[in-house]
Amino acid sequence: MRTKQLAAALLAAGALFATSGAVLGHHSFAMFDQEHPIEIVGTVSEFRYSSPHIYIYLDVKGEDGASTKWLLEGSSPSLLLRDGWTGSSIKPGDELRMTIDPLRSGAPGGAWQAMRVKFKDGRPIVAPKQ
Amino acid sequence: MRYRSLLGVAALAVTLSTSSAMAQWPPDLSKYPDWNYQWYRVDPIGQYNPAAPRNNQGAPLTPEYQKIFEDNIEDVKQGGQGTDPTYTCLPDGMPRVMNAIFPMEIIVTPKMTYFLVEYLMQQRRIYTDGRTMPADAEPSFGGYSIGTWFDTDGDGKYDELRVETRNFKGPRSYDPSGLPLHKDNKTVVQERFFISKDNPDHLHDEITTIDNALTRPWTVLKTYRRERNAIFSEGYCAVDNPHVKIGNENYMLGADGLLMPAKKGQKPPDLRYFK
Repeated sequence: MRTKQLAAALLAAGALFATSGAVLGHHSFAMFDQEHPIEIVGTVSEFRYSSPHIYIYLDVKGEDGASTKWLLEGSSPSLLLRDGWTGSSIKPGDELRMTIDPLRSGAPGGAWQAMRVKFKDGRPIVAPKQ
Repeated sequence: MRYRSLLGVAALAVTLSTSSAMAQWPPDLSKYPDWNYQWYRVDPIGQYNPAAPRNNQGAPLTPEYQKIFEDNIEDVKQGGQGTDPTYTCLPDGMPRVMNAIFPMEIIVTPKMTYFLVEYLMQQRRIYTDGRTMPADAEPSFGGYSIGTWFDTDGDGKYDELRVETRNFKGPRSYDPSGLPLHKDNKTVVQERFFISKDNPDHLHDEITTIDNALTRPWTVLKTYRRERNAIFSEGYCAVDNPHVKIGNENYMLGADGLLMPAKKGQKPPDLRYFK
């Protein structure tokens, strides 16, 4: 029984990895520091639903009130569309709370995975399938 | 004028009557397997042996190319792209395209089998019309593929497609790890496509790569899962790609359109021509 449960858990983890994992994209994601993720909150200026990667342009206010534009690279439409993502899942003006892997260089860029992006009020971007 | 029109019609009729494409339409597909719909990779990207670490997948590299691969890994650790050429949207080419990072469609016709790969909208054409390898074809990332159908179980229907691909250009690597192929581009790729005996919706591609960066031919088995509820997407990488290569360094374009360093402490590009 335990073996079956473990197999089911591994299968579920594999499915999640296959549909939501951005880490193993078509190129190396090593420029993003995957060991030190950070949380950022901001307002979407552009949502580019393109392949092989979806990009979110996020205006993030710093402690001094100044706004910085972040370029955030995510997964692919072809891997997310079966989870319900579309080109209008996120719109300019939406406020997002994202856990990202930031660029190692410290420049305002990072990588995101679908399961780590929510609206600022905690709602999921795409409602989970029943 | 009427004379010229008549000549045009006559020329068209001759062309059609001699065209092999018009020899039989619609073509008789009764001997060919049904490989329709959409195929998703089952294997993780760049993982040919799931039991082995990603950067040690068993490719029998020569010492020279093992050193190139290891130097590439060190660059990647710093945030570089090493010897992986595709981050600027260069095509995968063969054999990498068969990783099928995104889904692909297979169209079988008697004279040609097409692989339409969503990632970068890459196409493979496998000629099955009995031709031999041309001596003067332009080298390409995907190479020139000639295939032969086999009826391995003798039931009167083809069930296996064997393909040989040559005549490449580069740069190419096997996958995003940067595992390199030889710069001489004299790669030969031999493939054997067949449906799994256990699952009619699993297609295998046994890929043997012969390359001067290897000490011996390297064979891997890839598996694809058929998705009958096909959803096709467009995959033009250059549309929004922010990754740029200047000199030998990779950078990124920021959301404000300005150049960003990809690596910690990375120097800006050489701007000597900006005066």
